[in-house]
This record gives sequence, C-alpha cells and structure tokens, in this order.
Amino acid sequence: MEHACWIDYRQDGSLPLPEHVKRVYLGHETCQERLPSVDELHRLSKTLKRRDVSITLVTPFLTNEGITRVYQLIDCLLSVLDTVEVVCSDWGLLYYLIENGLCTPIISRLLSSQLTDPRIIRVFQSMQPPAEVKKVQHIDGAQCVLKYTPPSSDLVSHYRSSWIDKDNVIAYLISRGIYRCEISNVAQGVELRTVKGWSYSLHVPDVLVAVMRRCPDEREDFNTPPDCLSGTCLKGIRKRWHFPNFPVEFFRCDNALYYRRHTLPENLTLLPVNRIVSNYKVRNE
Amino acid sequence: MSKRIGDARIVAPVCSLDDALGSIEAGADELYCGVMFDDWIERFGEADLISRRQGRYSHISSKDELQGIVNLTMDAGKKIGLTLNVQYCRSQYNLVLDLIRMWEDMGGHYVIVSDIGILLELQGMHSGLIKHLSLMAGVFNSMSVAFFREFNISRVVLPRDLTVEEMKSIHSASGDMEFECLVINQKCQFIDSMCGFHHNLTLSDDMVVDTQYNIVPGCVEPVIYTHDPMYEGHGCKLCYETKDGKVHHIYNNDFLYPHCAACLLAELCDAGVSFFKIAGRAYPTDIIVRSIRFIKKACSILTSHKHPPPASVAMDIQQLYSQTFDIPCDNTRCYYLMA
Repeated sequence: MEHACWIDYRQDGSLPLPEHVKRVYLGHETCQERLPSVDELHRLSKTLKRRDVSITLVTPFLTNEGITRVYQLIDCLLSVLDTVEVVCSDWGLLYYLIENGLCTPIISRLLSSQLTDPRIIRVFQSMQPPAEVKKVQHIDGAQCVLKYTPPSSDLVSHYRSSWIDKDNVIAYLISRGIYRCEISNVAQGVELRTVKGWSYSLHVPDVLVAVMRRCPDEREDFNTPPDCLSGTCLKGIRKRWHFPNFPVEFFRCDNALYYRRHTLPENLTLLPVNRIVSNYKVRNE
Repeated sequence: MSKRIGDARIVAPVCSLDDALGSIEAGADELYCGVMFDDWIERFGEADLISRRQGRYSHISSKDELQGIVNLTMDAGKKIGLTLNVQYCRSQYNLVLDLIRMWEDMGGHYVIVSDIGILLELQGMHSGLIKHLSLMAGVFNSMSVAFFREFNISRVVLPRDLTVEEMKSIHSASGDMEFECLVINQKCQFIDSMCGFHHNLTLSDDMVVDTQYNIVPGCVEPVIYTHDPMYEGHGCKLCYETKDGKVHHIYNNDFLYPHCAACLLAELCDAGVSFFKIAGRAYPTDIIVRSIRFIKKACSILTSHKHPPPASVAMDIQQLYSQTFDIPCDNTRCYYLMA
C-alpha cells in the first residue's frame, strides 16, 4: 500500500513528512482561485524533487480561464519533473491530458461522485424506534406512522459503490490511458470490484460532501454578493457546521462541505485500493 | 430588434398528462420528464437515484401515461426528452438501458444523460435517440464540450453556476453545439454535479403527503415504509449552527420566490444559449404554466426592442415578474451573474 499526504502549497516544501510518505498531493480540489501560482509551484516542485518526493497536482472543476492556468501549472511541473500525476475534477482537463499524452491523469473524487451524505448509514441500520414515533398526514386524511424498511441488496451496493465501477466505463478509461480513481472513506463503507489494471486511492479522513461555486462570507451569509478576491479567501476558512441529528459533524473548508471519518473500511484488504491519501494536514488546523 | 431571442426555445418539465397539456398550451417548445416505475421503487426506493428528483410524484409512474404524453407531444409537433441524468451503478444498469429502449420504442425524441457508461451503451446499440448532456455532467469549459462531443452529444445543459461571460466563452469555442440553460425556478447553493447529499422523500409532520401507505395487521394506524424514518430533508434545505451558536439557512424558499434569469435572456442568447429551460419537475402545473408564460412574455418584450435593449426593458421585465409571482423582484434571486 502506497501512502501519500496532502500538503499546503504555501509551505516551502521543507516540512517534515512521515517516513513512509513518498508522494504529496497539492493544489486545490474545489476552487480554481486557490490553485498555486506558477512561481509557487516551481519553487515547491524543485524542493520536493531534491527530497525525492513525487508530486500529484490536484485540480478543481475549471472554467475556460481556469483551465488555461492549469495548463501553465502542468508545463511548470513538467519543466522540473520527469513524471507528474494530475487529479482531474474536470472532464475538459482530463480530455486535454489524454489527447496530448501529458502526465498521468487521475479521476478525482468530484468525478467519481460517490454519495457522501453521512445519513446513508441510517438506511443500513435497523433503527431503534425513535423516542417519538414520527407521524405524517396523508392527503386522504389518514394519520400514518413511519416505519423503517431495510434496503435491498442492490440499494446497499449502490450506496457503497461508484458509477465508475462498471465494465464498460473502466474499459473505456483504461483505453484512454487512465488507470486510477480517487474515492472518499464514506461512512456507509465501500464496495468496489477488482479489475485488472485499475486502482483507487482512498482519501482519509475528510469526506467531501458538497461543493459551492463560491464561499459564503465570514458570517456564513449566502445572501451577500460573492467576492472571490476578498482577503478571507486566501486564509483557508474552516468553520464547523452542526446539523441537528446528523450522525457526524460537518465543516466548511473554503467552498466545500466535509465530514471526518478516521476508521478505515473493514474490507480494505479486499478492495482494489493501493494508495491511502491522508488529507488531514491541509486544513490549517 | 434582437434576432436571436426570437429563435430561442422554451423547454418545460412535465410529470403528468395535465402538465403536458398545460405546458404545450402555454407555449413550451419542448418537454422533458422522468420515469419511476414500481419495479425500480421496489429495488431502489424513491430517492433521486433514477434522475435528480426524488419521489414518484416527480416522475411519470405508468407506462400508459408516459405513452399518452409522448403521443400528445408528437401530435402537437413538439419534442420530448427523458431525463436519466444521474450516474448509475452496476445493479441499476440494465433497468436503465431497458428504459431507454422502451423510450425509443414509444417515440421519445431525446434523452438527457450524464453517465459515460450510458453514452457508451447508446453508441453500441446504435440508438436513434438524440443525446443531451445534463448539467449533472458539470461542463464548465469548452474542452469538456469537446470531450463529450466524442459521444455524439448534440446539446449541453450548462451548469447553474456559470456566469454569462463564461457561457459565452464556452460557446465561442464549441462550434455548432447547442446550449441550454435554466432560466427560472430552483437554484441551490451546491453545484448540481458536485453534491453528495442524499435526496430522499421528506416526510414530516408539518406537511400532507401522498406517499403510498399500507394497512398492517397489528398496527392501529396505516404505515408508510421508508429506508430512513428520521430523514430531515435535503442537505441544502436544512438549518445549521456554527460555533458561535448562530443558526443559518442555506436554502431560500424557491417555491414562492423563484430564481429568475428573465432580465438576462438577451445576454444569454448572445452567449450562445438557444434553449431556455424551466426548472421544477413536480411543481404544481399552474406554477409551471405561469413560468412558461412569464419567460415567453419576457422574450417578446425583448424582441420588440433593438439590441441591446434600453435599461427600461429590464424594469418592465422586473415588473412582469412581480405581477406574475406576486412578489417583488429581488436581485438576490438572479439566476446568473454577468461576469
């Protein structure tokens, strides 16, 4: 099993890494405004090369303006390194890389689109009856009670899987030179088949749930005009969001919502996962 | 007079024969719908796993009604699309492919999809259905358009999160691809294609539901079975609390205060958008009909002026919004930013 970890690209690249980590992830997964500059990336990649640490550039969804900036970042990395991995959250960037034979393209967590709502674990468990039985009124006037019914095995499989895990999709991706996909360590567990030549990276502990185009302001107000150039953007905002009755705590980091789950899947050794990516450090904690 | 806005087409959602009749009468040029039949519900429940809408009520649930809607649409000389716009796992695959075959046999015109596996299958089965790429595919740049062109996509539904300038930039580098965007109702803070929340049926004690119930021996009251009796609602509709104890709400009541892009229709046309989509499958028929008429009227106001229209035209459209929805136009409800 390979171990990688996220680093904050604003560091100078000399920060200590765990001994078993020989690969770092850097960039930004959800916002093109928060990608490193060419200069920052150039400096960092030289330092990491000296330390014999491999680089995986993580990129978000991209507008035409954003994708042009990512082309420059890739050129910069290729001027320093022999091989570079690029995690693509955007079909356009993925297409650019496969058409031009550049780098090693990887399908991101945003494209693998797991269902990451932590409440899905409630669907799996025969719930203890709630303290108060939940009642609803039917349109025909009947007072009804809600009762739990267990999911079918197909539904369980759906919630634990990803749409990527289909024969024709994986065959297509492999035929285009793509061999890896990133996934989150979701609370409901993971079920994926082993397909020759195809593997997954498991991100632990932060599970990515939902992404916004822009951040709310510092007061978490969504009704103020978005300002991507405000000073708060570059601070890497992290705020706890508490949803009553949710089985986990959420936090907003920049323009995305996450929850945290440290426990690895019980069936990890049976999964086609050959890389664990620790995404703990990047959150400015 | 703006020439292109006169060519723009309105695409409206339908969930029943009544919706289809109302939408066609109101002036919709194309219709779209989803299906959720009993065999699907038995295996996968009523969450948004067949299209990005939960519940039987957001879909057409009988084949006869579906055929009736297709026939009605064809008789009216319009087109209708089937929304299969989420991504499917292996156990759902064959059911979805069967639906596509059924849709083609019924005379449906196009499918709205985002799953590359489905697109590959459509190529393999030599389907004559036209393929539209859903906003669930998340096309934010022209290189993504080029990628999906390889799957013979003829139209791209653009994400609700782009600015008009960004749409223009995509269109200008995308040749003859058709572009569609949402222009009224429903806009979430989360990007459609990047939301991992579970959208199930919300069954709460402050609302009347029409979900099927069962009379169970030994139970005094009728029972509604659900996979999650505690389900609180969509992630985007919930209140949350921050560390300082403040309670916030992500969602705005779109039902009564629809998001709207009517003032920007001319700019959207300039940006290459030719199809204006009405959001809101499962909205009451009268809201859909009002939305179609409103967008149609806004188009006629814009076509009656030289392009670019004077500022007074935006005010006329804002007034029309107030009259139509009985609330003042409010710039926090604008669908798109210009840049």
